[in-house]
Amino acid sequence: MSTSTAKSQHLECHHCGEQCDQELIKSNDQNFCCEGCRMVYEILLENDLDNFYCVAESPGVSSKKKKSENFEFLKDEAFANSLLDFQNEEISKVRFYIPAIHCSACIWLLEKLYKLHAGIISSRVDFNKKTVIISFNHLEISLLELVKMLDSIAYTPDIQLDNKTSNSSPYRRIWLQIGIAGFVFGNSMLFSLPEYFGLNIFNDDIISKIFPFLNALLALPIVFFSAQDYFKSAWGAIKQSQINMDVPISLGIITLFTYSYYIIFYQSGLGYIDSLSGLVFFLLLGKYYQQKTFDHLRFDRDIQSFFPLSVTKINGQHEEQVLLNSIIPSDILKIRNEEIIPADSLLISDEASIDYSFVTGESLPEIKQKEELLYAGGRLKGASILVQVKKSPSQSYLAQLWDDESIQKGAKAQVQSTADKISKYFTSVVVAIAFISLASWIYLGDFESGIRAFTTVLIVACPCALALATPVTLGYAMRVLSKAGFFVKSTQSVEDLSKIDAIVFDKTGTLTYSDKAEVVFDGNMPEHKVLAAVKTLFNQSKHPLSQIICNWLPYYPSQQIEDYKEISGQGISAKVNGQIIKLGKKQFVDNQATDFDRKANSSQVFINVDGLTYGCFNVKHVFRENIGNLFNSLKTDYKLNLLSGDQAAEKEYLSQWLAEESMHFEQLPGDKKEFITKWQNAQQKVLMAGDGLNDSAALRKSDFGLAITESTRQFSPACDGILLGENLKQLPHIMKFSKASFKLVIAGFILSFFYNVVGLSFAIQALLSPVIAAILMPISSFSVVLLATLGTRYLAGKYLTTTEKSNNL
Amino acid sequence: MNILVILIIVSLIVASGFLVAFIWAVRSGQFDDASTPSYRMLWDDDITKKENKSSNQSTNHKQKSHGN
Repeated sequence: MSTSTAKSQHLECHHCGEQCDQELIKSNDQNFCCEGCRMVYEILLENDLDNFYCVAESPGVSSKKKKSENFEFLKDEAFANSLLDFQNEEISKVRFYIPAIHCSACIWLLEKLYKLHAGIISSRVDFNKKTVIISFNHLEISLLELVKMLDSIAYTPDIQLDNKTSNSSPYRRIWLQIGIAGFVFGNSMLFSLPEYFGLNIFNDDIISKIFPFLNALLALPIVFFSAQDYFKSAWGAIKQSQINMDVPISLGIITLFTYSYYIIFYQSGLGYIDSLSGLVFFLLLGKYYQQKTFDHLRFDRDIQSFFPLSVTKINGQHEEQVLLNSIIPSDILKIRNEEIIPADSLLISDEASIDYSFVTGESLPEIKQKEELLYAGGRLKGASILVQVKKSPSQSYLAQLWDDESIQKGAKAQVQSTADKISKYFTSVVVAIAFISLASWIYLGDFESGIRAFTTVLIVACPCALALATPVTLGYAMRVLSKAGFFVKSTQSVEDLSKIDAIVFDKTGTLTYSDKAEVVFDGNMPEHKVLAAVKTLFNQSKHPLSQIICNWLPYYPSQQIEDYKEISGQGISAKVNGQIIKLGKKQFVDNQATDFDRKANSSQVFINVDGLTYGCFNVKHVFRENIGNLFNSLKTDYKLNLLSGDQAAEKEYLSQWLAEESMHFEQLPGDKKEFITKWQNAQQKVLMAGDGLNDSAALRKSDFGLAITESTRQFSPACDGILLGENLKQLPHIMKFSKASFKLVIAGFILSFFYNVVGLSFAIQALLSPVIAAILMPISSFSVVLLATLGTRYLAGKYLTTTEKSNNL
Repeated sequence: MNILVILIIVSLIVASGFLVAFIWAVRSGQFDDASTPSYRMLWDDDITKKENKSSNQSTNHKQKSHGN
């Protein structure tokens, strides 16, 4: 097989579909953008799996940004076994989360793994969850080999300590509950049908005895299985002397049930079993709507998932892979390029360049000298270093920041939904009405009507429609928002979003592109031959600046290089075509070189060939497009603030839209959190928009934490909502939409109050017959559901435009 | 009217049969993943295999000639 590198532009990679702008590799008459893609292609070809490319166009996963990962920790048998779902003498079953799964061809390929290795028996993909379950013969292929094989075709599994999720879907229970409620609802309505029409065809003794009895039998699974969760939740609230929406619901269900049993066994009537089952059925549907979230997104990532699972420990003369949890202070660790420092530790090597962008937001790497303390969370750029652990990973500065009690989940749990607040008044009013009507009937001397009025008030006032308004409206809104590239954690988050007063933005990665930068060249541009060499050099280096400049330069064929040296934090040098090329900081390249104006918030990379300094590249982060419009349209409704970990260099540019006093620079993660707390103490609801781990404390503390990410496959810190960066400009519309949907919830409340007033007026007169109850209850539920869905759909058309890209997620 | 009683009991039994089938389906996980099968059903395994083999033999030859 011949492989050649050729010069060409605007060619798409046969494997991943990306532009082959950095290099072009040809194999078998196909173009590839990198070695990784070509290798995957060849593996597939060898194994008769090239139909992969027929299932979808360029379906592969790009290997360009792929880091080489070390899976040696899977040799640890106890740990490897803890990942397995099932194991017997021959067969093991494992479930992997593979973030790269994105199209139908991925499913096709991953379900044909048995062709790649005889030890694999079968594999099955769950597309929504992005997981694959693999059964394999562990005598023929070990877990480590299996993971390496997946890695070799660019479907690297994301292995977490808490990787083991339960096999069954969390929805199974509610499906059963809905199914049984629906079954009972249908049948008991059938038995009650003659009564709805006032027919009296069942004078027959047997029938008039059998129907009520069947109804009583059918009511049992409803009350004891389907409605179980309402009782539990109501009981939980009452124990804490609180009232939530489930209290009046449970009260209604219990009254309906006992009163129906009384009627069935003492008055040989049919009771209200049809209303009871209908009520529970609709309530469960609403609850299901509320529960359904986005399976493939993780909103609750904790700090653990950010760190590697294993590290390289130096044990005497040899290196070994150990699990991160087993690290103790004074251990010596080896950290390689691009690896994350897992614990606060002391630098033993002479020098290191650490990128703390995840922790501080500062995008340029810091230089650390021997014996300096390195905080956990930094990413090493450059040559491998040795460090001595000072604190165990769980006690690092970063972990403490994370574990700060005020940002633990409890801080947010106190938020009460509007529905719960209303139900507090609602319940007391209903109970009061029930007692008043009972008292007045007794006063009139009709005890029996009094009891009937008392129970029917509780029955008819059961807040079915009230309880449906929130989940259906906000649940539907949540789905609509996801089509616009905005994913929220729960319906409660949509409600929180509608109440926001102030918005706080992080700068780097949120307002600017995290992966794009503007490059300007100052000085004399060297000739093409030199540029070709420069590009090859930049391509060698893993430093973020090198990568940006490398992408910026036009395509050149790669050159032969000798004597390649990379001095971390300084620059790179090498000999190309007999010329010595130096790239990097001014001090490194040529101290006597003429200075070029350093532009705001930019970094300079000087270029020197054989002692002659040509000039420098200015690399600057760029703001997302339409950032001005974003600020202008949000300014009228919200108080805007900016917090940045960076220097104040761009203050002037941003002051076109933001007030001087609302911009804060050089903020540490703790400062950001403090800032939010200060606003919250002033009774403001704050939305925090951020991207990295450095914002995570603030995101958690805020009333609505919004994580901005370039793709949903990326890491995003714990938050309430995830917004794709390209859709940030949609934020004003999203905010308006959430406000409008919340108004729709209120409209639903008003509508259900209206039904309650009608129902109650019958009930207090002791006139409520099963017929009226059976008609009123479903109608009120239906109309609220109808209002919620149609209204949300109308609002979505008014405020939101759906993007195509989000449909693929 | 006794016929009605029998009919209703029979209908209830039939309906219960479906309910049991539903419970079994949920428990055995048939509802767990509703979207992947919609992709899976579009691949006709046997046909692709045949096509695959014939087209692959030719590519194999190509590969060999390339290798030389």
